Amino acid sequence: MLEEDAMDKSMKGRSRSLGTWLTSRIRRRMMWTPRVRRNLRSGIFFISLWIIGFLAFNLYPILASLYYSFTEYHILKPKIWIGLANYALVFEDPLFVKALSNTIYMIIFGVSLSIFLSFSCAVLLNLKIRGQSIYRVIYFLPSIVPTVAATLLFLWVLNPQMGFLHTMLGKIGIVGPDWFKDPVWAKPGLIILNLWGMGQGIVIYLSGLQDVPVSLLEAAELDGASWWQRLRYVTIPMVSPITVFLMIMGVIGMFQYFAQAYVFAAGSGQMGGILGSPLHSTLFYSVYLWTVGFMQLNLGYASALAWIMFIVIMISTVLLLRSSRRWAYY
Amino acid sequence: MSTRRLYTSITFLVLLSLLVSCAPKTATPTEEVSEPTEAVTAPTEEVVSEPPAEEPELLRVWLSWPESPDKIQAFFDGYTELTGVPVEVNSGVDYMKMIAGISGAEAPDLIVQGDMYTVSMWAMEGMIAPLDELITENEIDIDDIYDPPLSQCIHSGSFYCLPWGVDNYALYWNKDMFAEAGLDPDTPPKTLEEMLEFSDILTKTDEDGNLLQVGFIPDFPWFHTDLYLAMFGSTWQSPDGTEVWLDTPEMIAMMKWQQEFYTRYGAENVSRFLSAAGNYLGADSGFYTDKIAMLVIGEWMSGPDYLQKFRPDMDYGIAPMPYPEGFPEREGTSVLWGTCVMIPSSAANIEASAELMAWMMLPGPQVDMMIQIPNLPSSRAAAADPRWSENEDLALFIEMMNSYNAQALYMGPVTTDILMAIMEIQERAFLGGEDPEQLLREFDQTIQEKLDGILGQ
Repeated sequence: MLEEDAMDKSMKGRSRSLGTWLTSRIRRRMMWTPRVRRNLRSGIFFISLWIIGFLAFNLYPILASLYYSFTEYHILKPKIWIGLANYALVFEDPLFVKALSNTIYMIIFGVSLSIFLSFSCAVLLNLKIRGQSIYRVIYFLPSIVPTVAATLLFLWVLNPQMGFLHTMLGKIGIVGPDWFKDPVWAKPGLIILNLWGMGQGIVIYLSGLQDVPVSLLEAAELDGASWWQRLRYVTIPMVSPITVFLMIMGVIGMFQYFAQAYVFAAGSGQMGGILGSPLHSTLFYSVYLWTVGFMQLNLGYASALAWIMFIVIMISTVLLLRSSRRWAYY
Repeated sequence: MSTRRLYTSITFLVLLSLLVSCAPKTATPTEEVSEPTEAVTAPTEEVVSEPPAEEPELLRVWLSWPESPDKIQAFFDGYTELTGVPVEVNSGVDYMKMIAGISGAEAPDLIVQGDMYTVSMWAMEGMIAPLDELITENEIDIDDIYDPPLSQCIHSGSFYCLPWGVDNYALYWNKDMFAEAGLDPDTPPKTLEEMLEFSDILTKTDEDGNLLQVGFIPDFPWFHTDLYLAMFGSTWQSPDGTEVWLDTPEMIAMMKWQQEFYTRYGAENVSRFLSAAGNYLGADSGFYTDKIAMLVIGEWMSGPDYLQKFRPDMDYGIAPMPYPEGFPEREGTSVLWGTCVMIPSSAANIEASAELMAWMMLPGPQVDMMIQIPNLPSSRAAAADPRWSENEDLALFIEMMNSYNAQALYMGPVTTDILMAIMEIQERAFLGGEDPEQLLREFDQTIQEKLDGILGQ
């Protein structure tokens, strides 16, 4: 009885506080001067084009795809409501699991390697040496090469017959793998391609390294800290927010990884190459989503896959942010 | 107050212009600005009092292949000269754009695809229009069209496409490579067994066992399971379309025959070799660079966009695909594929599209077009044109097309599933060394279940 009273009071208290908040908002709104209102109208007017674009080309497709994910949707036919059937289908779909595991592989190895090497290069490029700017430009340049061009270039670099890497490995007595046809080596080949274009990560880390307080580094040096200790206990913690940012962007980027895999499959030699070849080893989540939606024309299931991707990305981001409280220093 | 009015007016104008620009074009042929016609410029009272003459609406044709766009546009200009109806050709249209175009507000009037894989699926999805009535109305002579490619246009008893051109496949061989290997350059292999023997003779390796040149790789530049299966005396689906025939003894034997080329030279070796062998579209093709001595490919290979362009000096021969030993009655067997014409169900003026399609199917225009690309005609009357016999290569393909052994594959709702399955099976069997029999049985069962589900609906 006492508990019920307490709950009742609590609920009343909450509704009262909400009512108070709303009243205060309305009062404040009523107190807006004509000048404020005019400014608001002008502001809305100037961003109206963006608002229209956002509503028509972002919000509407997003909400539409949510609806489609609960339907059997074929392009020119009426949609049939099937509830959660599309979502249930993923549990019976071996290719969904394959696509997800391939994507997770790329996140674990591709993203972490990219972050590690970006940071290492940034540290080296931060050293005060002659020609520092030139080195920075050289490392950044590959990241502005268009994705398709870079992928086609790497199809030649990694070519197991005449590729640059194959030739270099051959000079030291190593027979390079068949990157395009060997399911074990296809993903590492794509990771190498990604590492080549890690210039943006380097630039972001470089900016972070500029912000590491010199006083902290000097204090550590005075205390007898070695170069490694200064890096481990001062520099790395100070740039940890950048690491969090790059990890989140990397996870999102890997779930949207499409163009490289598409060009890789289409351009790796013979005609009739299938997406995800060899042996589904490059069937990434976005590639599979595209195949389901536009090759099999199963747009309802493709929409469900897109929403599952959204949920997975959201959970990953939340987990990363939460875990970063333990190791990132803001 | 005046500022508010100004903002309101500008917002209204912006919204109006957005609505106008986003609205689909309707069939309003008179709204387009036309060149001043003689009738309009003539200052006679009668003409002036009449409404302006209707400008025929532009017809838009989308083609899936990018080659010879000028020749194809020139061909359709012939229709414009004849009828006054302008035709705009867009070549090399991507599959995605096709789908977006068909389902969007401004669908093309005609779609020409280089293959027929998608016809059944698009018909099932309601993306393309049934043609039965349009064929009758436009007096298209169906009896004049070769049966094998025509049969691939039928879905649920109705025509959904018409074969404009026909593709046929044969064995091309490099005579210089034959002579260098000690083979008679004018005698290609007659049987599949001989093909393997010839391939061994033509294959060269370095001291480390790496392939330097190869006699034959069955899936270069792409797979020909359909043709090889026909040589083994089967097909991949029952003629009535109710059964998937992936696990037949013929299919298993055919897959093992192909696999033999990989196991004999080493799957990894072949794979490495192919990674630098390109395909037929560029100058780096293993066939153009004297690295692959034999390949199975279509009639267009001898035309101006391929061999004549990349290796005009090559001394080559063309022969029908070899048959299995003990089955000489299968000599000259070929599987015909159509270059098909479809009308999107969302096309603005389906009647005008059908009229253009009917003109494309006439023997005269067909020969004019096909002999240039080159592609084979779907019209029997066009195939009888004496111009074909002037070209020895094309004459052979026409002869094969007229053979009683010319076949077609059944095209149905699971055709793309079968194709995808075959590609995966080949990859796993040839490169991964898996047993094709087991794989064929697995995929047969899966696709049969899907087909039963579709047919049971």
